[in-house]
Amino acid sequence: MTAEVILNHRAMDDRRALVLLASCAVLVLLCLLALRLGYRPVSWADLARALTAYDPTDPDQIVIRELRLPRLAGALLSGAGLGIAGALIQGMTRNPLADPGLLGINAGAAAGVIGATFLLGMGSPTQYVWTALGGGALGSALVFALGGGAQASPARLLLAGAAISAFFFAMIRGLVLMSRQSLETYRFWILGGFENVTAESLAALWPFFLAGALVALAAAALIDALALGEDTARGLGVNVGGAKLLAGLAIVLLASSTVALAGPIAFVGLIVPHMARAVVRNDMLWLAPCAGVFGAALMVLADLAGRSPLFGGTMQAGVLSALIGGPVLIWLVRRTGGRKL
Amino acid sequence: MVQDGTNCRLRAEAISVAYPGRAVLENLSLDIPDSKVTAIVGPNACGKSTLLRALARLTPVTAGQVSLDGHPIDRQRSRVVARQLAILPQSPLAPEGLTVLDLVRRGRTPHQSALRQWSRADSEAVERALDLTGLNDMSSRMLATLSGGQRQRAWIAMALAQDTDLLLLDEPTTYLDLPHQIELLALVRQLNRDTGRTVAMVLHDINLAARFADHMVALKGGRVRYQGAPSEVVTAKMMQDIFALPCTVIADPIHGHPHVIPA
Repeated sequence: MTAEVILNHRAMDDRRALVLLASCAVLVLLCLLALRLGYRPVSWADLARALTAYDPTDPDQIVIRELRLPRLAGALLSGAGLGIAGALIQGMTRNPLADPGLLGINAGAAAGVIGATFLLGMGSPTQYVWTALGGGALGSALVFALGGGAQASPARLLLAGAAISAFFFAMIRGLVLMSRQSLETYRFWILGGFENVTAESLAALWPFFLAGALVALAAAALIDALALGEDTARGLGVNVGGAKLLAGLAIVLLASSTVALAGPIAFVGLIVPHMARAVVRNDMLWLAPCAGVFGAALMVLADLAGRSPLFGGTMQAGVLSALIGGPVLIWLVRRTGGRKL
Repeated sequence: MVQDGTNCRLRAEAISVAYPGRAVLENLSLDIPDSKVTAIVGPNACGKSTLLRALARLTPVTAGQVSLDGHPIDRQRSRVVARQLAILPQSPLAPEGLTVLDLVRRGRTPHQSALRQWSRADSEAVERALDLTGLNDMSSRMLATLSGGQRQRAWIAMALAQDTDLLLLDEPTTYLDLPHQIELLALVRQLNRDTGRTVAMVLHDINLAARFADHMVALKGGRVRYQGAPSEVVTAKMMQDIFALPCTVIADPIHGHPHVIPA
C-alpha cells in the first residue's frame, strides 16, 4: 500500500518531467521556425550559418542576427516572465482570475513611458525601457503599500491594484490628449509587441528576468503553503508576511521587465497558468517552470502568426496572444465545468 | 487543575487577547496535559477558538505568554515550532486542483528548505499520515470530489504529516453529520492512543467532548471556569453556569461518560 503511494507520486513527477521536456522540444521547434520564416524566408543552411559562423555581409544572415534573434529573445523572455508571474500571483492571491497586470505594474509602466515622452521628450524604446521599468516597480510598490504591506489580504491587494491602475490610466489619457507625440508612442506601445526589442534593451533587462525566476523558485514552496490560507501557512511555520513580499518581488521583477521590454501584453499571465495547471497541477515548483515554457511558446507562436501574411505581416503579438489564448481558456473552462477556475 | 505528575509542554501563562475595542481573553492560564486529549468547550463567543489560536501562535497575545517547552512560543522560530505543534484552523479552504496526496505532502513544509528538498523521511511521514487516516486508497483523488468527512480527514492527515507531538484542532467536526463527527473523533482518540500525540481541540458538542476527551476545559467570558476529567466537569451546575441551560446529567448507559439531557 505504502509503496503504491510512493509509486503514484513518482509517476506524477515523471509525467510532469515528460510534459516539461516535451514542451521544451516544441518550444525549440517554434524558435527555429520563428528564425526561418518571415517576410524574407531564410534557408536552413543560412540559419545554421548565421548561428554558428556569422557573416555580417550576407543579408539573409543579417536579418536573422539583427532582426529576428532579438525579437525571438524578447518573445521568449516576455512569455516566460508573464507565465511565471501569473502562476505566482494566482497562487498567492488564491484567485484564478488574478493577472500580473492587476498589481498596477502595467499602469505604472505605461505612466513611465508617457512621462518619458511627454516630459523628457524621449522617443526611442531604448530610452524608455528604464522609465517603464521604474514606473512598473513604483506602481506595484504603491499597490502593496495601499494594500496593507505584509498584512495585505488578496482582496485588498486587488482592490488597491484597481485603484492605482485607474489613477495612472486617467493621468495617461490626459497627457495623451495634450501631446500628439505621446499619443503616437503610446498607441504602439500599449498593444504590446516585439518590433522594438533591441540588443541593448535585452542586455539591460535579462538580469532582472533571471533574478525574478530565481526568486520565484525560492518562493515556490512558500506560495504553495500560502495557497492553503494564511492561518494554515502560519501553522506550517511559514512567515506569511515575508513569503508575500518574496512572491511580490518575483512578480514585480518579472512583470515590470516584461512590460519594459515589450509593452503590456494582455491575457498571457492569466491564461498560461491555467494551461500549465491542467497538466502539472498545483505544485508551484513544477507549475512555475511549466508556465514559463508554455508562456514562451505561446508568445513565440503569437509573434510568428502576427508576422505571417494571414495578418498582413504586422499584427502585434499582444493582440494575437489573446486571440490564440482566448479559445484555449474557453475550452479549459468548458472541459472542467469551471471547477478548476 | 491538571493532576500532579502530568507534564505539560504547552501552557498559557496569564494571557490576554484583545481585538480592537474588545477583550476576548483575560489573564487566562491553562496547561495542556501531554499525551492526552483535551476538549475546550463553551458558549459562542466565549473565546475558545481565540484561546486555541493563541496556543498555536496564530493570534498574538496582548499580555502574558504562551510557552512551549518552557520558552515563549512567539520567540521561537516559527518553522521550529511547526515541527513540534500542528494546528488545523477552522474550516480551511484548499485551492482547486489538489489531490489528497498533494495536500498531505504540504504538511512537510516545516521540515524542508531551499537546501533540503523532499527526502525519504518526508515520504515516510506522508505514508504514515495516509495510513493512520485510512486515506491510502484515495491519495490520488481530487479533494473537490471527496465528501465532507473524507476532506476533513485529509486535512488531519496533512497536520499528521507535519509529524508533531502536539496537534491542535479548531472545531474539526463543523459541517459534518453525526456519523462523520463520531468517525472523526474516534480517529482523533485512536491517534492519541496509538501515537501518544497530545491533542487539544475546540468542540461544540458537550456530549461528544465528554465521550472522546480525557480532559475538559470549560470557558466563559474569556476565562477558564471549569477543568478536569469529563466526569468532574460535566455537571448540571456547570451547564447552568456556562451555558445557562437547565439540564439533567446522567451516565451514558453504554460507556459511562457523563451525558447531558436538556430539560
